[in-house]
Amino acid sequence: MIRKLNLTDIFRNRLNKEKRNENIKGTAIIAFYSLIVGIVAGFGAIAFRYAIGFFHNLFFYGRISFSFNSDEHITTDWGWCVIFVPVAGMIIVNFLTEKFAKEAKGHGVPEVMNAIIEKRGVIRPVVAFVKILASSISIGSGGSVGREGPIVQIGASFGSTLGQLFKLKTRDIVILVSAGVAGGIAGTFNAPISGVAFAFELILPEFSIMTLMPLVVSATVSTYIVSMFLGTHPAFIIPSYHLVSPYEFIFYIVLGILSAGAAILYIATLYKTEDVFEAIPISPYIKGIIGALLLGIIGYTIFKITGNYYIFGVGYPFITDTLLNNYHSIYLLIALVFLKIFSNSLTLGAGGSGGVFAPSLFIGTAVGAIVGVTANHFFPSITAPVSAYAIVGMAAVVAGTTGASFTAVIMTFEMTRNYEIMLPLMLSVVISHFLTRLLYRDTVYTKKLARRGIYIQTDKTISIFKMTSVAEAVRKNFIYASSSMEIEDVMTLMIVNRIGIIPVIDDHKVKGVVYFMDIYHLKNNKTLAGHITEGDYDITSNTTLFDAMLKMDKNNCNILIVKDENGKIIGITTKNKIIRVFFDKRKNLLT
Amino acid sequence: MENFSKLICSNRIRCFNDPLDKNSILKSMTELFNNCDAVHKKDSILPDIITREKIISTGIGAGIAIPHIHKDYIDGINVAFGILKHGVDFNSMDKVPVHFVIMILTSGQEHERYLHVIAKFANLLRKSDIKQRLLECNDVEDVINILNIENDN
Repeated sequence: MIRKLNLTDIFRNRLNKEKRNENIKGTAIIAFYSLIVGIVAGFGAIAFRYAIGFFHNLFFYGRISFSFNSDEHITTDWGWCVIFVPVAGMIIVNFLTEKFAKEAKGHGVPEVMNAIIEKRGVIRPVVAFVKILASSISIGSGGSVGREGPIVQIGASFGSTLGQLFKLKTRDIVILVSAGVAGGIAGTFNAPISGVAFAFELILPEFSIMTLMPLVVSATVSTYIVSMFLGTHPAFIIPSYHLVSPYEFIFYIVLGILSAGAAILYIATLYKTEDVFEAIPISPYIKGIIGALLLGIIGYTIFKITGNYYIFGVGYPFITDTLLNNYHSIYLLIALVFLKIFSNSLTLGAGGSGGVFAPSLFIGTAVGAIVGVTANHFFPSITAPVSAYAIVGMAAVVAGTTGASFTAVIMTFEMTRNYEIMLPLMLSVVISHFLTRLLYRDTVYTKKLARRGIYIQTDKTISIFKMTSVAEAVRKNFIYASSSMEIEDVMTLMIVNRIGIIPVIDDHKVKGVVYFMDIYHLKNNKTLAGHITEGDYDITSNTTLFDAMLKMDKNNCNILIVKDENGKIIGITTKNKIIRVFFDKRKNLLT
Repeated sequence: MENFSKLICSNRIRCFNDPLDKNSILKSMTELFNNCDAVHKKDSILPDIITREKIISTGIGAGIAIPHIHKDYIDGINVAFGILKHGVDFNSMDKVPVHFVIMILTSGQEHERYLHVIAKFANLLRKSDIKQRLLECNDVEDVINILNIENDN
């Protein structure tokens, strides 16, 4: 049937088209800005890595050089004096963060989440510079932290600065912040899909083509720039593995469970250590010295026992060794799980700057290797090499600590390009993630904010309005009138119950509604009939809250009469009630 | 808005401490107007109030009933207030027993003031602590004290 368009329709269609064009244009402009963000994030990742190399060479070898391979073990000649290397670094880091940007302390990602949720995406430009300097000194001087958190904050800070500079809308600034995050992660791991996944899973509150395109642009550009300067190889060179026997799934389930345990232990220790440091009533500089001294002693002790400074820095040499099957004794692996957790907690508790992502990879590698060594020992004929378990453990602990399961899977896939390992990997990842959330509410990122009373919804759940039915927002005890009632009685009802609109129901049939403003001037002893605003004011209880709100908007009212599937009136729903249900549900999701 | 002291005097307030039925309550409440000069046909009040109740209950929910009539034999607006320790079934819309009865007799020309009186009592009785304190009153003096305090507030 062809419907005649009237002038209003034509005008509305034109408006919609203009709005659509405006959105497309807006997305294109943001994608262009993301290109700049990607370039800066890429160069930021390069600068950050060179800075780490510079300070690493300065602190551990006393030379001026940017040449640095993070996969190689430290071979310093400082002897026992190496204990003081983290101390020297920590003093400088504490000075920088205390003096210029306290936000640059800690592990970065929570600050970006907070900026998006609480500060409309605004991050101070100085944070990027202080973060590069503080984190590279922290990592370069042996701080047991990762380089991913800092690059996330650096990329985000630039995205935000660009958005502020061009006076963009809050939503656009948030997209640019996320583009910075995607670019940072993509550049640092040489893994663009992982960058996009990380930004989507942990940072960006919205998923649409409007948000996807800027992230992809930034991640691609950043990865390309980093690969031009630092090569195309991924962060870890991982051999191809496959499932040897279906029985192995049992070992991978055990690995998922152990990974959850390690993740919980890690998050709990990290924040407990922070609490202990915070409770000591001394200057932050002294706290830093104490923490760094302990770190130095642990690092040197491990060196004396094993010949390697395993817990200093990002820990990639240990991960690379294990992934190449150069694994160690099971006792060392067990010890490293606990020592890495403690060292990372010490570094961050003492005021250091650096991420928790690489430590999660380290701990996961060790946990995976423990399961792998054990499985290989008892069932050598049906088990893959230890390193296969290390890869899976790496992803499983990352999922548990960060809550970024999807990123963990994608990142491993991007680095291994091995499909078969994905099957057990996904299983361990979801088990670890599920158990961690079941037993420990917060992720390593959200806990920091939850302690400040800020709750972040990291789950991308279906909109509450679209997944909740009106049945959950029904007020069963409600006031209504009938058309035979006298106006004065209806007004009495409305005054006493303080309502401005009342449904009119005759013999279980909805007649419409009456507005107080329409009847208050009328004299008594007249009935309501003739003063009822008729319309489509009923709704079935299985309709979504979203559709109920649409209907209210269409009728320009804030009340609907709710019927069950059989058409029987069961109550009313109001805008206020729907909003209350929304906030209750949201609160349940967040706590 | 008028003060309670202007709207209602002490001999138009009654605390019902014993359980009674709806008709007995209405009868007792109409008797509060026996010495009221503004009501010229005192014997007609109760039958008219009951006739009005038969059209639709004046139990408007939340434990409140507002029996009322607008008649030519009445001058101005006249209010009586009853507090029922034991809730009485008024066949209210929400089925909640009534504890507070506001009886209003008007001449039929007092539309605005009638709504003001209802609003005044509605504001008073929406506060659950006030309702509780009124229910705990044993004599009219206590009720007047509470009304005066609310006026001051």
